[in-house]
Amino acid sequence: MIFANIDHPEPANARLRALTAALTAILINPASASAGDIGVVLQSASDTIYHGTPETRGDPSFAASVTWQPHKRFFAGTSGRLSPVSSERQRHSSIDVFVGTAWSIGDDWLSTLSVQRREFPGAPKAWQYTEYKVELTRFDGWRASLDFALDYYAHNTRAAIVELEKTTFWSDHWYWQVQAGAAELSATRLDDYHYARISSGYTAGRVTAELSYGWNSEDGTIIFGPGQLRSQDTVLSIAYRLF
Amino acid sequence: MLLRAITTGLGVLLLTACSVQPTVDRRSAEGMADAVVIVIEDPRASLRRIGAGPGYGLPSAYADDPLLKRRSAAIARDYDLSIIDEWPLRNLGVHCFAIERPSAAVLAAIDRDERIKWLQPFNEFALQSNQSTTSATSENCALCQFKAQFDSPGRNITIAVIDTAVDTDHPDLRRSSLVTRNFAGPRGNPDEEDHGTAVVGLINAIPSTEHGVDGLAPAARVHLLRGCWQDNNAQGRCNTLTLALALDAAVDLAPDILNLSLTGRQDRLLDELLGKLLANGTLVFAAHDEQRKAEERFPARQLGVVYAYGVEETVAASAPSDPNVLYAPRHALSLATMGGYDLVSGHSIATPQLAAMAARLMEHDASRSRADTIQTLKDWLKDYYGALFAE
Repeated sequence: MIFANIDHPEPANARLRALTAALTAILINPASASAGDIGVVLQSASDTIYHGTPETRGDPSFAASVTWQPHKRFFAGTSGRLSPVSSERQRHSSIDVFVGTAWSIGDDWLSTLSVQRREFPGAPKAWQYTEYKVELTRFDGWRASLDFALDYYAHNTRAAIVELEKTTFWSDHWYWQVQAGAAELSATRLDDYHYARISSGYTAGRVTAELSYGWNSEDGTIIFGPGQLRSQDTVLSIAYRLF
Repeated sequence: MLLRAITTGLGVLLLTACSVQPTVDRRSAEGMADAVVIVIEDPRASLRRIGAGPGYGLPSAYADDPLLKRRSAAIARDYDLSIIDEWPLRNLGVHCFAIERPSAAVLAAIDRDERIKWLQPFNEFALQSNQSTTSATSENCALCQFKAQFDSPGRNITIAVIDTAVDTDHPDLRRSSLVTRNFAGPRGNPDEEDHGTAVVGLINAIPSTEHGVDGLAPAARVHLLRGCWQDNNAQGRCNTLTLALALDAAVDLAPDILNLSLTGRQDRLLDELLGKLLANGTLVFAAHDEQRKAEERFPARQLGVVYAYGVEETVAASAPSDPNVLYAPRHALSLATMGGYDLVSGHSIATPQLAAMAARLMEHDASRSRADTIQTLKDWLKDYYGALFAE
């Protein structure tokens, strides 16, 4: 069992809304646009897998993310996701806000240190948490990251998640990607788990389409409160780089 | 309701995106001979360029970022320019776009623009070899003596070869560890390009029969980067764009040796990329240029660059005496397309022979520096040919 049901009132996080609004204002301000690199990506996926577990109970979702890097050492952004609810609403919508700092290591590596606040508006119980991430990315597609959360998904548990990923372009447009990760949770009532994913994708112009197959040591069965959810093994994602 | 609207919007957006993808590769466009290349800083910040951090979703091709096209389009709009093609170069952190040559006044104005790093001609390059009319034997004496003396087939040595396509189905290449990538796009006909096949064969072939070609460094890891193509007259051609893309990929490979069986005029973009390779310790072999002085050509004379000069059985008095020039056999039997064999000759055929000899030396003594490798090669050739090399 990865996450049991713990009842929390839904937070009305006014600070998060204010932060998101402020960030959005900065991002859409033409003056700031010339001062940095702004990237906008739209994405739709048949399931949302985050750190190896499904967040939308196997339902498809639509997401948009905005990332702003005004300086080589600083970045900030926000992303939002919305999913139709086919059964009980839980993490079907989310708003993430992140800020971070980046350093180049030599010519080939980039390291980032970031903090991300995750909110799940509309959920009948609390899921929100803050995640701290250290990531190391190499230009040839290697990526390693360590995520740490003091109260992972508001379940009174600390979590440390390590992920290793390799993306290889085998032509100008086609790529494959493999990812492996492990999550260690401090609460004894929750099991540690590990996961893996293999994907193949096609990218041309602004569009990227990817088909992936995922595996979780919990055999795909994740218990979310009152019911069980079987994660979809195969996920289709399409992303469009708007800006 | 909101979800349906988003779904519809995204669907329309994706369909629009697919429908506006160019159906013709602009790199195949003719008439680039008079083009000018504008080089600007890659406008992307590090996070976006490398696809790191949260927010960038699925991977995307390095060159297909809309931000690059927005920046080049803005400059083109300001000066009423027509962009023929554009490409970023990761290892230089620049974005390049080729334009139709504007008037001299416009060029002067662009040159003063602070957004622009530099302007340069869009150059064309030629491969240097042809079918031999001599009756060269299949096994050259110089090479068999060298092989006997340095019994090391190039294990753990990486050789990047920038040339035309290679016949990867050739029986004598089936057991080699050859890797190929294409940077010349749809130009030429990759199935009928003999030059790259001959050059790679001299380095990497493993004979499939007793009459097959025995490459000088069959155990080396060879990466054929197709930056050139053969035109309708079977002449090998390359240009600033195709060579820059191939050299950018070569920098990523960090090879021990780079084989450039080509020649052409000085080109700043290519010089900058070659500088990265030389700084990483790569030993570069390039074909001797009969037409240009070493300072006026690509690659320019510098530390780590060796020019290969093809000679007959003896070195003629007219051969150049230059510290950067080494001699090697001018004629050789090598591979041809359709599983064939051919006698080929020229300075560009001498080039892969020297590159493969260097690979044997590097494996023979891994502690040997780049300068030591050149000197050992020079000493051996001096003994063999009885020729005096300039120091």
